[in-house]
Amino acid sequence: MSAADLLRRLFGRRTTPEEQMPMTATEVVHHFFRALGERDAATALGLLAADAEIEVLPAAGQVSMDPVSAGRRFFDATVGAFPDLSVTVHRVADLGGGVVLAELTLEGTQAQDYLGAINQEKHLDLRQGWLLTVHGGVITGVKGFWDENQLFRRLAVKRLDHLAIVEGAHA
Amino acid sequence: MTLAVRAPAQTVEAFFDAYRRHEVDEMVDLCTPNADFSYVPVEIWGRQRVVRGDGKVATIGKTLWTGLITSFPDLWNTVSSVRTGEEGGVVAVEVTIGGTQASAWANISARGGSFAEPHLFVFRCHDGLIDGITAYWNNASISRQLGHLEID
Repeated sequence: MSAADLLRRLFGRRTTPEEQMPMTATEVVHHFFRALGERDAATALGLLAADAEIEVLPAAGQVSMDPVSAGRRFFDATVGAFPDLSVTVHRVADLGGGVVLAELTLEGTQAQDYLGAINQEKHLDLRQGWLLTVHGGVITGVKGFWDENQLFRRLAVKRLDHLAIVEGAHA
Repeated sequence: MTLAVRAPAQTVEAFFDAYRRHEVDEMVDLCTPNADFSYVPVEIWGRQRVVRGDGKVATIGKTLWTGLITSFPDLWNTVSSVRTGEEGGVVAVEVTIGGTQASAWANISARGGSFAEPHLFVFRCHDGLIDGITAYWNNASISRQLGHLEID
């Protein structure tokens, strides 16, 4: 073993300049949605600050209104309900001040109940717009915009007040 | 004399100002003749086909805005943030749009209800004009507020 190897072993591996560079805001957002698309909830949630303010308004009726836990529960539920989940990012734009715009399509086949809709193994494709705030390499704020009508229509739900009433069921 | 080209944020603010005054022609004039238009939540399912809110400002956009103002004569908007992208003329706007329903809108019959709903608009601007509009919001929330609970 060379002296250099010994020193490296004793004092740890040297990081490359690239590794020392913090991720930019847009890189953090790309990383976040890439992790979601790979159904890696742990990595995605690891990029969220512990006290991140998360507003997923379209899910507000289905999950806790608490802004911190609701968001984490939403991402967990999404990854869990769609085992073949894919996230196609159409645009990520740096809006300055740590705010990043993301436009994407979320796709997958339902495999378990999701936001109140029972599982009928339907395919979901849903375009979404997101505003994320990034500070110090972590996401401190998330706002998601999409339409629940489109979500539930694709999952064959018939009424907004009775999400468990599905296509083919008659009152 | 050369007219100064509006900054993207100014163009977008002028757009919402015109919308607040229900001046649809002025809204259209703030866009390029071939500006793209996408109201993502708009999809009306018929027996044979689905009509979506995708196309051009001059056709689909103008028709939708005119229809909305007819159905909601007090249609209003309050802009809460305007953020311009670091590059590419992208402007993201958070705006709450609301109104009181006076006549049928799409498949929602008029019950006299009101709505107020946060929207995210994404504009693409070029040479002082809007060249593309994409909007996201929760249409189901508007349906609930107006008393329409069926998912058509």
